[in-house]
Amino acid sequence: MNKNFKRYSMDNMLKNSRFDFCKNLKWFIIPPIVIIIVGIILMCTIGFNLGLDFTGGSVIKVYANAEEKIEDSEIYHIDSNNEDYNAMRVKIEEVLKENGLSIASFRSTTMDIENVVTGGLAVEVQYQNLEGATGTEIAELNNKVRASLQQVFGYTKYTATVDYRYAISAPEVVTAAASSELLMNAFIAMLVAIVLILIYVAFRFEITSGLAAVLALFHDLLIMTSLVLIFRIPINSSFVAGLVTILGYSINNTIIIFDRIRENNKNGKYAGASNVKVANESVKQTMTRSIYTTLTTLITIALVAIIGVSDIREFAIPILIGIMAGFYSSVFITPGLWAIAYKPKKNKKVARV
Amino acid sequence: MTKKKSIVRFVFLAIIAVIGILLSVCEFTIPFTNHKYHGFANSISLGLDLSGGLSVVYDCETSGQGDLSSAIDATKTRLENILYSEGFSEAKVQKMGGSRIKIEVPDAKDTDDIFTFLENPRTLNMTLEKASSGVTPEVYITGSDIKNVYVHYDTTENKHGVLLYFTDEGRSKFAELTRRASSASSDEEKIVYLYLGEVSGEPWGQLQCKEEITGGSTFISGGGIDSPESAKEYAFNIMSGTFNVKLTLIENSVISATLGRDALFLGIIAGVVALVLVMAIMWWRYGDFGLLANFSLVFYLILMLFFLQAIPFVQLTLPGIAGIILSLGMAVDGNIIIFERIKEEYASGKKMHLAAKSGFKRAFWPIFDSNITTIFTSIILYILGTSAIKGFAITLFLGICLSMFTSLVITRFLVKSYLPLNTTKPQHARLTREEGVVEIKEEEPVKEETAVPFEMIEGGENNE
Repeated sequence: MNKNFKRYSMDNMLKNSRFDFCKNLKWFIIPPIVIIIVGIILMCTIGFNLGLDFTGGSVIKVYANAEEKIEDSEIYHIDSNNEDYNAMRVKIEEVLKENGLSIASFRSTTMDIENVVTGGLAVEVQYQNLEGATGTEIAELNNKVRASLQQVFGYTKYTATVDYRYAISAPEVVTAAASSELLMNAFIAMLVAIVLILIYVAFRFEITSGLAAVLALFHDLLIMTSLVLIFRIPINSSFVAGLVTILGYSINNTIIIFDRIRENNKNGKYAGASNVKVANESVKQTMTRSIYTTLTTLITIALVAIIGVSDIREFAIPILIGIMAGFYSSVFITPGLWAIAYKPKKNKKVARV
Repeated sequence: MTKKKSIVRFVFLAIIAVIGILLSVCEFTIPFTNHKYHGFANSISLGLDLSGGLSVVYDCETSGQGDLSSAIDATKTRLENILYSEGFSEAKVQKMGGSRIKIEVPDAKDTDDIFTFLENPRTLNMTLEKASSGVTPEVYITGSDIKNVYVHYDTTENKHGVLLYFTDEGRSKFAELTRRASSASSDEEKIVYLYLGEVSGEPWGQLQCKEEITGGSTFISGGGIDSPESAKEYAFNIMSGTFNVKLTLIENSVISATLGRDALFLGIIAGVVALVLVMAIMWWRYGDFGLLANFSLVFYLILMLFFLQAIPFVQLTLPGIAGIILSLGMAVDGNIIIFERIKEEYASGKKMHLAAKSGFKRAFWPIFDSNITTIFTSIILYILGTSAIKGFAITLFLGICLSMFTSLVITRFLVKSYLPLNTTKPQHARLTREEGVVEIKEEEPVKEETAVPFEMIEGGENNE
């Protein structure tokens, strides 16, 4: 028994700590406000790092250091130079620059050449097309880019014997799959969802809780967007899905705490105690559950970010940020806001359960 | 409940779980039949980013009057018909933005065969009179009146040809045309002329009609159709002439299947590692209760895979995989809320089975409230979102409903069955009390929920 008691001393430490979550509210809101302000400044100046889903563009793959098997017995080196990703990037960047283009995304990819015997380096480069260019102009420019890349990577010298069409893929034009229309639709949908959440929480709890919960939601979504802006994570349509996930998920911890506040207000244990006291105790009582629910979810999405391919990482990292922001707001911000704004209704029955 | 009954329950659930796992991943031939059963986890339809394939985008322009949006819808349906009849049952045609159509064909490698005909559409026109210089006869039937075109072989006349099916409007127009044609005095004049493209010069073919045709379909042969191949070619030409929009190719890309396979493979690895870690945390933190939660997590996973496969319009995409893995972490949240509550109840002095009972009872509303808001979100997104978001909304909705079901029903059932097996060792479920807390001997004497408002009402009266 004693041993067990010791084992969970951390839980008790959390429950019995004197830390005041409400009084320090003014300090807790500084970091998010700073982050959001930086985010807004970035959005107004350089804007989002829009991914190809929004801009459209061209994709080209460049392979190096691989061995390509053309006939059964023969093996050819695609490239004899010992390239590394950085060197490749510099070369590709130069070629694009000559043509008035720039790299939108540069990432390693898998060799999907059927004849490759041993793996080498493969990169997928995306660049945005010149503004206002017609289809044929884009195609011409893309062919030019491919030709100069072949020259720069030294593939042309082999053309007499081996067809290196695979070494540098023909650029593919990608149209914008997502549009500002899609973003607008998603934002409207999210706003409607937020209003519904507000109504539901106000109905189940009271209006103060509803407003605090919705403020927390805005906090989470804004932090997520700001950090994506700051870290220049490319925005594709999956980012919208990420926002939605957080919109649905991050409210959970907040509701657990509000539920506890309501219970504590009702059961008479804290009769006559101030809002601050009730909120603080409620946060402490629900702390372990907030930590563990957040932890299990964080672990799964972190693994996706670590193990997954780069496309999936763009989706996972914003969610990772959002979940942490959700924890922060539910513990450090909403209870404090609630404590300031909540006016208990006197001589009335307590809120329905 | 007796110990024996509990053990029977666990064995029963374990058998169901094992069967569920086997059904989800194993492939076998169903005994006594030729049917092959594919595990439902293997039958989940994959998005293009995972399966690889072709993606083609067309820009649409109306080639006449009429609303572009409805014209695109009609074109979409016709394109789907063509692709399905060509055997691409997995193909997906989507409207994109205002004026674009995106066609995705999984597992296909070569666009040439399927899509060249789209670039030279030929409208089939039908007239009563032959065109001559200076006179353009009235066109009764045109491309947009045709709903579908099939390659057909007429066995009685031994002829290759195409079978036309008309739209409802086309059907009545065709009936009128054939009625007029068949009312001609001599058999030689009972003819409908067919033009491919412009109505001028020599007709492409002609149709003998001895009577009014009201069935809404007709068979055409001749006019250069002499083999199944040429019939197919003409069928495609006529079909693409039925689109009342002009299609311009903007994007044509082949998505590598290798990349998709790798992504899927990495996704599965991430999922398995995540599952193991989440289960380990649950075990470490909640002991035997954690194991029960892990058991119901297995049910969650099986049900999730089953529904993903069963709901027809859900396609698993790369973000979808991330979403499912993420949902594993979210699915145990309900269990965590319940178990933390049980810990608390136990610490306050309640006996283990009472603590468990009130833990479930008190955790119900918080779990319900927090999940119902997510359900709102997913429904709104489904109604207002674009197609990619819709798919995500469905998975989100499914995940929430299933996680509520597993934590409130399955875990509850498991815990109920578990309690008779362990009446003396609360520490196995990581339940602890501080020294000095007195165990409450009896059931709670007063229900707290009713007790509190009563006091408040009393207080109110005193104030008056």
